[in-house]
Amino acid sequence: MKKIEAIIQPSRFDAVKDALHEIGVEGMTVLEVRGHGRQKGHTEFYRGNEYKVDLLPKIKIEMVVPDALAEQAVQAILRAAKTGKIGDGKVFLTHVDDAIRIRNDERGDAAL
Amino acid sequence: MENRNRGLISAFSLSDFYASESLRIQQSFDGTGDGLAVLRGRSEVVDTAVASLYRHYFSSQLDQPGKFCMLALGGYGRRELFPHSDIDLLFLTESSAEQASQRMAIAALLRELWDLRLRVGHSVHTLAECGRLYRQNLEFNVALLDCRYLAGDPELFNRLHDDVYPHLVSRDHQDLFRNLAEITRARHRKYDDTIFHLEPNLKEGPGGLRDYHVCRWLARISAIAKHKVWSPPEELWPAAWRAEVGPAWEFLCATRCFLHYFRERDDNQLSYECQDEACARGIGFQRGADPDCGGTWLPPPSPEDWMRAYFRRVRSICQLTLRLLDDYTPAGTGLYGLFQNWRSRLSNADFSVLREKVYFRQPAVPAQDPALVLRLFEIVARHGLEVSREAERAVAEAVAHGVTNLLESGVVWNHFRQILCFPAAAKALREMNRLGVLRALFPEFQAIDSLVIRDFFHRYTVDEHSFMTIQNLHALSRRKLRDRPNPDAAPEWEDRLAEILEELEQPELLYLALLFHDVGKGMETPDHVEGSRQAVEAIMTRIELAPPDRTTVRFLIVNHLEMSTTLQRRDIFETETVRAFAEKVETTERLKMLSLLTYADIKSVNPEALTPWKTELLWRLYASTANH
Repeated sequence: MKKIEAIIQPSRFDAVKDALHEIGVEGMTVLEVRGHGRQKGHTEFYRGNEYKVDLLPKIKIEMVVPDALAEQAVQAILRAAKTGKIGDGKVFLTHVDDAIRIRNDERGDAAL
Repeated sequence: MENRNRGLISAFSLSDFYASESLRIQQSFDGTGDGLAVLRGRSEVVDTAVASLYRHYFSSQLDQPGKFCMLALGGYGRRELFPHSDIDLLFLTESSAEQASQRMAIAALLRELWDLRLRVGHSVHTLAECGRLYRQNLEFNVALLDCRYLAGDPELFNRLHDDVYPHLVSRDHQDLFRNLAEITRARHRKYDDTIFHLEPNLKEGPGGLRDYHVCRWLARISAIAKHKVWSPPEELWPAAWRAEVGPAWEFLCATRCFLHYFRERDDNQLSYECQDEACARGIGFQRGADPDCGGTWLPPPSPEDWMRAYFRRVRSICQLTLRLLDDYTPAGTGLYGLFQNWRSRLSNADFSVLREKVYFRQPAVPAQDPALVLRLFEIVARHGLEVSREAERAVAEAVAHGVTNLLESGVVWNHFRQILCFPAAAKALREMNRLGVLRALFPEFQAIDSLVIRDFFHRYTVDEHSFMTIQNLHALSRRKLRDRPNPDAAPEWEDRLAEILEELEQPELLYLALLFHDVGKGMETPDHVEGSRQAVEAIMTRIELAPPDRTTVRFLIVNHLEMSTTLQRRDIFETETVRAFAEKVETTERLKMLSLLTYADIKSVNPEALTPWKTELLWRLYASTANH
């Protein structure tokens, strides 16, 4: 099992969700987050005053998928989230030891 | 086996008796829908069971009653047992000495009741304890307001009922009033101070059964404190209220009985599923005397209509509760009292203001001077005052006689725009809606009156959502940039939105658009935006709005979803997105209005809908479009 965490542009969220549904990823957790990457933000003028804006709004999605589906899911996210510009985000992959469904104690892939 | 004999009812026949009586009551309810009969019937059955158990376990007391008795409290004390309500018992003793000797018998009696699957709560207190005020547990003091004698020493009960408890109440009634007011207001806050939830809780929500009890308790405390009498508390309410609230109470009782039977537990939330079922069975409408149906029984045609009937009734209970809390909560002294007296200076030639309530100086006037009705709501909107019961009656009468038809169209807008822009606009609009003024002026609003549209995110009815948008925008305008704790830090997103609200040239147009932006949801048009547009066109023609203002309002209504769609679907950091959006809004003034409308609309879906994250996105789209 792999856990996929992706940080994406808010505007690409619907497209990413649809692409994941298409390849059979059914569940995910979605968070409204703020952050920055290599591009450390910028200063912004508002009514004559200067403010530093270093955190930009992003969406983070998390899901755990069977190993066989992991690469497909990553490709789906990349395809749907890419605009080619700075700020498109990142995808992280980690190994997951086990998953347990609280309702009935199912384990492993069956719990996903 | 001799000692297993239970006298009149053996263990086996007791549970048999309870089961068969419960079934009989339920079947009778299925036929008649009479909730009050269930409450009475169930109380009688439990009375019988409790009495026979008392005879069995306290047989030694029967010959020599003294210093010990059993009382019912809460709903059971009131003889109002719902199918799955708890049963509250109080074992009263003269002194703590009796408590030890009765412990075994009490435990045995309670066990038998548990075995009947009754949920029993109990306490053991001495007479002296019942006369003490428990500041940490005033619920116990209040619970005694419903105490009823069940068995044991009647003399002991009489001392509590006629002497000890009235003494406590007359000494500490201010504390009891204050505590009831606090817990009731906290409970209302938990439900966002509105009755208009899509899936309301009919016990705890504002205007629910708990509020009805609070009204009774307030009246009872006052009667005991003043005259040491235990008269039926309803009789102490103003007569005009009784006529409205009585049928509302019956309706709620029938509905809660239905809910308990339907869900087979003490569940008080009217979920969508329960609304469908209640409507299909015509719950609350069976007895043919419903005023809404002109005396003949017509089941409501749809769950939406059934819910409208529900809200109408709950609204009257909620009104009475707020009014009584106001009347009984001591406010004559202290700072608040001074403030209230100061507010009485708001009186003028047409209105007098007394203890936060507005009165017409001459109640007959609205019939002759139609604009006075609107000026009443202006003063409410301006100062956040309450409409007095007398003024309410005068307004309702004036509306019934069609006084609003006599208003010249220009006059309506002149007053209405003021109402919309004053800080307590939402309060005034809710009152206008409740008293039928809004409907008389804008029949289009009727389409969304108490309308439930089932939706995963929305929490309130469509009309309440619309009032909430106006309330949220006025709340925004009370934020002041200069009041920030740290003036050097970047202003919060809402502070910035507050600033553009202050800059608007015609905020009244934005408020007008907000009031009617969702009216189309109650119309037959396939697209609610188009429905709202049609409705608002008719309204603008009627109130003779200036042509450029009509263009603005039309723009806001037609595009009221545009900005939130752009936020969610488009990359707002992309120049192309910003350019396309800027082309659509054309002017900075419109951009400001649409940003504020979007803010208010999302924020009024439910209290958590507008996260700071979303507010930031909204602000960024506004700012980049403004700089474009």
